[in-house]
Amino acid sequence: MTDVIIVDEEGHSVIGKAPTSPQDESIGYMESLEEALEYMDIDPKREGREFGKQMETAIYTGTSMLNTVINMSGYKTGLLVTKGFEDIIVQGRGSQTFIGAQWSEITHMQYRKHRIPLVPREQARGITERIDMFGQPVIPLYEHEVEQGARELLVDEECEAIAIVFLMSYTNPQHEERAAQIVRRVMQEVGREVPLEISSEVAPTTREVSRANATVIQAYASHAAREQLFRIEEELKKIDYSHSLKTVLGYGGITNIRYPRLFESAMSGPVGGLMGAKYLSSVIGEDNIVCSDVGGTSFDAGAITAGVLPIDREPGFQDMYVNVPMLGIRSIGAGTGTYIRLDPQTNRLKLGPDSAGGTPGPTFMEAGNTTPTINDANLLLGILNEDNYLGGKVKVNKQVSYDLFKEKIADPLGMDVYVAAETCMDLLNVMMREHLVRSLMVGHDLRDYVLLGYGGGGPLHLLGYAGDDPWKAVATVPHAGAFSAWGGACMDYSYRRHKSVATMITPDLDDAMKVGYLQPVNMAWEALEEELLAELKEEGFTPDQISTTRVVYMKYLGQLDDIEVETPVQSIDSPDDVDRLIKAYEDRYTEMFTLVAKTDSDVASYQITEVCVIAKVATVKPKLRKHELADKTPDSAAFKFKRPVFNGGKWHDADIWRMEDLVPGNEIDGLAVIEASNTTLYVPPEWHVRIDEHDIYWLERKDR
Amino acid sequence: MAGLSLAERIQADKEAFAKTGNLFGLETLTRKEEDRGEYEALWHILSNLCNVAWETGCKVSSSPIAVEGGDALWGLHLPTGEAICVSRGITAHPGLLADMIKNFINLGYEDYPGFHQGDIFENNDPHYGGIHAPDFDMAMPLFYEGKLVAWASAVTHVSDCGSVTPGSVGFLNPDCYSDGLCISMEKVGENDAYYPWYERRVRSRTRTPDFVMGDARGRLAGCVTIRERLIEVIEKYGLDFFLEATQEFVEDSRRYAVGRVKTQTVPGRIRKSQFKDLAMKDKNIILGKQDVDCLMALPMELEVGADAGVRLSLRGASGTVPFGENISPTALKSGLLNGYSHIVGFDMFNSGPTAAWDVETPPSGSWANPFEVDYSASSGVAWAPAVMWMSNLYEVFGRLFQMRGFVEEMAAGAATTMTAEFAGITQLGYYLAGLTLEQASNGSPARGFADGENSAWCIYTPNADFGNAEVTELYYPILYLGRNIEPDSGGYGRFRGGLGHTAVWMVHNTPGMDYQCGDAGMRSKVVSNHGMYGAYPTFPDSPSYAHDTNVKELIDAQEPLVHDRGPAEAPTIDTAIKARDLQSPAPAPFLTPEPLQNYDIIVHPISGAQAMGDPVERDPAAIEVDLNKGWTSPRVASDIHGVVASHNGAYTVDAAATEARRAEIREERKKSAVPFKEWWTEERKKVAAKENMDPAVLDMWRSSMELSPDYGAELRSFWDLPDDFEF
Repeated sequence: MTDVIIVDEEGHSVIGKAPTSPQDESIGYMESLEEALEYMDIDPKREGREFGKQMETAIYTGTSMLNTVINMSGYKTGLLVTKGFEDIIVQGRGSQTFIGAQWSEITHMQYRKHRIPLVPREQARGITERIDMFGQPVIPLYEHEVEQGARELLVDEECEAIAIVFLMSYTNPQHEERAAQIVRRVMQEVGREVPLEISSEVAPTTREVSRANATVIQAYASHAAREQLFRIEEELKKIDYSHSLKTVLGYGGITNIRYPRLFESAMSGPVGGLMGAKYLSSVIGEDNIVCSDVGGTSFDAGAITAGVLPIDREPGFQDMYVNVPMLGIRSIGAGTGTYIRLDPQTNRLKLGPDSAGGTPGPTFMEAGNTTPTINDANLLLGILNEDNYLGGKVKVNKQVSYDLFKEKIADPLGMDVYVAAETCMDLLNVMMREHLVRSLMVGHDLRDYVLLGYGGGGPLHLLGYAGDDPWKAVATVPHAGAFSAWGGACMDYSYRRHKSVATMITPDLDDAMKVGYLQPVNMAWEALEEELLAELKEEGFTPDQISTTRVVYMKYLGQLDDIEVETPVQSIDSPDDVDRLIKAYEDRYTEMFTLVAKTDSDVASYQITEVCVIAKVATVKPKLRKHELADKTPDSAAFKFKRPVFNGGKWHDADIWRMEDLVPGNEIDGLAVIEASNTTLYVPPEWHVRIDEHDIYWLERKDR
Repeated sequence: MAGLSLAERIQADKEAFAKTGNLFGLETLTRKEEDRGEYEALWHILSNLCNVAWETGCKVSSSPIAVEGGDALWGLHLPTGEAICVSRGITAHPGLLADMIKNFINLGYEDYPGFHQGDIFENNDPHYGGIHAPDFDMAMPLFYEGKLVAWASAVTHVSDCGSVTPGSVGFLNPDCYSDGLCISMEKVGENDAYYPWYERRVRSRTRTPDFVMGDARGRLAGCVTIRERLIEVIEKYGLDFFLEATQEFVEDSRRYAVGRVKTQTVPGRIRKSQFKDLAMKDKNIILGKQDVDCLMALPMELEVGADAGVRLSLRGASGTVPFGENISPTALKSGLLNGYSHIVGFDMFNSGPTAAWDVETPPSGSWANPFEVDYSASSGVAWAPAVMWMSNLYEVFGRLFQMRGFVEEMAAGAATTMTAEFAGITQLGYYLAGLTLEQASNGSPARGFADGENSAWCIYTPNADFGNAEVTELYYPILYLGRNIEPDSGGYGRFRGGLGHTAVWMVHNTPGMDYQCGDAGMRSKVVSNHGMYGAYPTFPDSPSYAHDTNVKELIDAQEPLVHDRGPAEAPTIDTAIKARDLQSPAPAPFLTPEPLQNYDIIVHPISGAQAMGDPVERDPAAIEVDLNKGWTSPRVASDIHGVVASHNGAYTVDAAATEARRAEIREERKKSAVPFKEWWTEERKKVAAKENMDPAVLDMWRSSMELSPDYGAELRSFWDLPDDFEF
């Protein structure tokens, strides 16, 4: 489905839905927009233009890039690559065959498979050349090979796009740039102009496999996707929308669809939630937020620390590692659709990692799945309402859940059906809690963080996985299922650029040498900043609208993994600047890896491996309305009825509330279930709910 | 068990296992049955804890081999040593770490120097169960309210262990005294800190002390992470539950491994022979006794009992070698966990599976049990024979799975692992010695239903990955000139093994660099693993190098360089360049006799895996694909697979002509076939006369028969030789 969400400046939103039209996405987009307008009592035919004129920003958050890669429907791409590396895409790396797999699947090793390559071997040509780690050309570019390779790819192979990837080109782009000139000349000669991408422009960072993947995705998928975006923009112009269409970058920012490195938008799926949380954090004055999103198949989490978004620089995407900054979101295969099974050898309970998702869904939907899922357990426990599943749109057969759960899980374990169901739910909550507390939050103190839950299944499990861990606070929002979409409207215009550098500080350097050795960092910062400012100026922004931040990535000599350090200095001009930078690094390092991990500073050597600049322009965002606080006791209309809910091994009568009728100021005690059309908030007996003036639900333990 | 010392508990556990067949005498898993949710939750939490330690430890550690290659591991153990659960990493280590902890207990360390919170114990000495010097094994006792409740453990493979040759793959070590820095069951620190003299020793006795100490900090940081979080876990679940459930995890996992053998194999006895050569005559060696070619017998006999008990035997294993390729029985058994984890016990991974099999003590004095007879035998690269022996496991289990119809679980034998180690001044100007990651990613074995995968599998680590060339170049003074898939490197069969790749390096930016083409399980001249069910084996490991070359001139003239291995009959290094010293092929393993210099070239192929089934049964369409990708040669397609293809821009297979050609091949085979008895009679004559047998072959058979007299008797009886016959 294609969803269009319209958000007004007061923060109100409506959602329209229409079938996706992959051949021409503008059809689904416009149909969906029309449905959303109807919900706002706007007649698309008569008043559509009036509405279009007033639209401040239209943002596309869809998956056209992703679909292009999944469906293998991008431009036939030819690759010019350092000779001897023609198989770089086909061969990839071994670890690309088990991205996201769990350990038992990794050790078994039997079913590994490389993905279908975006560039098959037949479309790659090797070019003799080499540049070393210092940027020195060691083997000059064999230009005759470029000419011949380009001709073969354009004429014989009829490629529709060309990517150029040379080793170490991020240290010196001259070979790639010269090769690009030759390819352009050949294009003119053979009369075929096709898109051309070079890796030192697309992603000037180290690790050639990931840089090659980035460059190839940009060549293969971005142009096809951009055509779709232009089509949508064209349709929007017809209703008098006067700005450019925007899209979402994977690191949390919006950009004009003309943005050159459009592949950075390929992994924008989970961005909305974090960006919504970031915006929320600025309104409620909380700098540290852990975002947790429970969906049907996966549990996604990311931590915002001191207002800074987590960034992953080499995320896995469709079985490829890609050099692209992306919001650091960690996922595990655990959600409301997670399958519940018993191990045939040991009768042990196994949750997932696979899932029935929404299709075929839980067994009670009778849509072909006969393996119990977590939502079957939620239904049996009385937490889900059999008459209100997905707002009552889906018919539920509870008896099916009961029978299958009894036959497949409870009986073989010799357990009561309801006790077994609660055991499964508790186990899923433990898995999610572990993922947050011991995986995501290593090196951070929970007492400094607000835990925010959203996503269709978020409020259902939030208090289960919050448990008794010492979070500063726990919160959710109404309409948690639509929170990510709302977050899409809360983003700044934001660009970031990374570049690998090679610098080292050793204990034997004198002060002048220390500063001298770090000059490449200053130079890279300045170059990146200049580039970003130019791009934003091109977009029509003025320098006073743009703010920039500088970051370095640093490690001890010899280590492979560096860590992100927000630099305390804007440029490195004195020995004191160097010392402050080292101190910032070591503070962050010991926080993350314990004190025993530190090297004595009299023998330690440090390396700065990468620098980054973030340039940002604030945009108009929906207001988060402030309401008058009503009574603590909710209006009687909000109370639906009492329903038995199984908790702690016993049945209790739980209060069932209608979320739509709850207002700021209301408070509710567990045991309760608060139902909305797209989500269910489950409040166990030890919890209490308070709705604040921004309509945020704060969840507090009664014992604290 | 209250009141017993740890040593007494180990003894009591042993007796209980012998009596009941269940670890710790646990006939019922009470905690599991009574509280399924908490049992699973605890398992999940503890496994996660180990992975957090892994993440912390690897980020702190500084070996590319540990971090990017995954040669490291963190674990949590019972007070008596058994691994409860472990992090990701190399699955051979948990057994070793468990045995090391038991060893500390059995050697009386509980009384002196005693076990205290914050103590650091280490071992890398094969005489006490260590595998080889570069694997630094560490254990920390963990206390709760004054009671020892668990151990945290760690292992990292350091870049240089101070052996006689630089680096960590000491195949050239003549004896244990040249294996390098030795930590023999030592307490090396207390209060979460290494003793100062530990660091002094690392600084004076390894070539890369900063890296070795970085690894030490990584091991420690991971273990401390486990301890800090474990306390929270025990507080939440209660000490009794923790202690009992963790024992049950180990027994449960033993049952899992037994259960898989029971449901997916058939009882019976199955054998596989395998041979490993070490071509060392007339090469750069350390001591005179090493001027010799060796052949090693690595036989496996596996017997599955009616109760699904698995017994493994190495009867017939040949004697020790005057190189690093010997392994202690403890390390070998532990290493076996690695193969077992791929094939049988991959879920709930811990010490449990080691109790699901019984490995007969290998013949004393053999490469697999050297020290009773040859105390000074080196284990510099104990992995080398161990992983090749373990490769047999895939084939024997593959056959058993096939008999039961589990075709999707079948895997033909593993690829070999030939390492590349470099030592010298790096491009950044400091000295470094260590491994590249090339050998960490081989082709995977052919499956019962499909080809293996290219460059995505490794027998010694599930984290099969060769990393990025650009990262390797930061560490070593080389430039990659190639890293493509190697054609025809996956054997020949109905399904071929996954293909390996060939790294081509040019030495760059250094005053000199040693290249050690090392043995972590390679073959030089003999075919080792053969492939299954009529497949033909892939070729042996065959590197080459060129020293003092004309490459600079070729570059200046923009002439073609070396980017691949090229056809065996005309390797590219032979045809494209000139050199004062061209070694093509250079029989591996070897250490270059003099340092290589800038513009020298190394061609280092990494093996693919073995194939399955008759090559003339391979789908012609699959051959057409391979031909068009350049993954097989027209010669192999026609001569071995019987495929007739034409080339007109691309290859097209002629189906009818192929069928006819294959029929011919089958007829030719029939013509050259003889009845078994006839073959045996002719072959027996040669055996009896020791005809055409190299001294290495004779030595191998002599020691095999001597060290395992019953094996010797069986061999004589098979060939109908006199009782006093000797090679």
